[in-house]
Amino acid sequence: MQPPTVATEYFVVLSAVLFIMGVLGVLVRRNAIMIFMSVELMLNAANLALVAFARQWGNAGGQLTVFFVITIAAAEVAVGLALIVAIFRTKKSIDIDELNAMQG
Amino acid sequence: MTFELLLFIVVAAVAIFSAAFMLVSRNAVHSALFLVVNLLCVAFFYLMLSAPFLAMVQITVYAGAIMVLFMFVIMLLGSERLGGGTAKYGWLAGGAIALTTIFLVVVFVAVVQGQIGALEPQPQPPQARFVHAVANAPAVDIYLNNQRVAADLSYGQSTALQRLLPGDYNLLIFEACTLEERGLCPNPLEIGAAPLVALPLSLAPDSTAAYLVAGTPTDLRLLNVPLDLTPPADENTFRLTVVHALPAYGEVNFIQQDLADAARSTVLAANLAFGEASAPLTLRRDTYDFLFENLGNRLVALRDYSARARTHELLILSAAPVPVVEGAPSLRIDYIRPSAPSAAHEYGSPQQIGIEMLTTYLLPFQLVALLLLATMVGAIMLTREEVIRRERQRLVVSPAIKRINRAIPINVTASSTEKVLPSGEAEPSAD
Repeated sequence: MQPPTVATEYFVVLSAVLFIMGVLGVLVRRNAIMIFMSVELMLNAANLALVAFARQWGNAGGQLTVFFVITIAAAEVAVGLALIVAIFRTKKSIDIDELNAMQG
Repeated sequence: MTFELLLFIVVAAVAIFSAAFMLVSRNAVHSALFLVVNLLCVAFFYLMLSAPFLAMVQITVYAGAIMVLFMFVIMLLGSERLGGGTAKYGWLAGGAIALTTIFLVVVFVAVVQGQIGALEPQPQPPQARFVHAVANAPAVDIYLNNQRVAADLSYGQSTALQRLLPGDYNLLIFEACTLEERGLCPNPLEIGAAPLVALPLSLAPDSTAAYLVAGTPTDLRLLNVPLDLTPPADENTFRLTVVHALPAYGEVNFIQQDLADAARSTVLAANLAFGEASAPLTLRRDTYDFLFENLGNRLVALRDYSARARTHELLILSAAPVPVVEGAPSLRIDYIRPSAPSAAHEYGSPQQIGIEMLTTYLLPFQLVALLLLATMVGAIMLTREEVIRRERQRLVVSPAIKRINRAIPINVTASSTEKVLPSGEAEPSAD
């Protein structure tokens, strides 16, 4: 393994920035699909940090974890989008501010 | 500033800007396309971090399949145009920005103070294998302190590589039990049997070695032959170590013969004394003719020798067991060739990921497969027509929900809804 030319710190900071953008998307946007895409952004940021640390430690476990995260993200997207479709068909809207039927 | 750092900065800028555009875009399709750009940038970072397999998975699964699913749903619901309606929780935006800024500052401080770059990879546990190379000696059991590492090892046999804890050990060699019923064999340590030989053995972290029991039945020795299982520079080569384990014999030469032209034979290892191992020879995968010789005397020849690529082969010059017959020479020179372990794969290569996935991470792998199956069933059940119709009916009858429904401004234009929802047109009675 060659010595790293780009330090792990840079990747961690970049991943933190991307993660924060995902958080902002989840908190600020009101469209359910946009929120889902922001969650994907957050998952990706976490994956990037995992791969960077895996290289730092010379341990492939981090890369395997990222593989499982990607798989679970695919599952999550499938179920989430199915939910969105179902909600849209019942309520004709996917604005999450309006999904407040549980408040009594 | 190196080229790679420059590349990192450029791609990181693209990643951050695409994420920002994704957040502020008013059009969901544009947002999805910006997210694809962001995912491709992350795939590029995976390549920089020597994870080519993950980079390809990222492109095919994330940027390919998942984003296509997103686009499909955006188009299906006709919700390309976002916005409209009243922002009930507008005050949340300011709070979110403040909180995330604080989080970012905390991460910066942690990264600067944490000195991540000083982290070192953990040392690997030492690996060892044991080979019995003493002719006419009985089968043996080998113990390290009180842990049995080899059972019933007879001449020419070897154990697989074993991961052990680093440290100093007392290596004990016992004569193996000869009872027919193996279960009745007593533990030699418990009954206090006298070992054939007891030797100190020190195992250092990150080391890989074969330990050869050599010598004569009355004078057992332990030879340490280091193995090199690091990824080879050339995938089409194998490593070969030659060991002289023929007791009471002078120095030998190991020669690669050219049967057609004797002048082109080359000496691969010269003047090996008893107990010595040659330096690891790196040979291309081919068919070889080898010869051990001693002062011009041919000892033993190997014809058509070939080995698998990426292995570390051992070739041990030894004596074969012969029945002791009066008047006949009791020594027949032979060689031992234990099965060879394969070299490790390059960090992050698809081979390494595959091996890890199907050994250490087999259980999570199976669980994820099960989860995907459950997801498939769940997604189909969620979007079934009658489930949705029942929900819609329930929403209509509940007065509380009716009240809320009235307050909801419809976010999506009615024309696009009807166009993409043929089920609604086919069953108008449901509404």
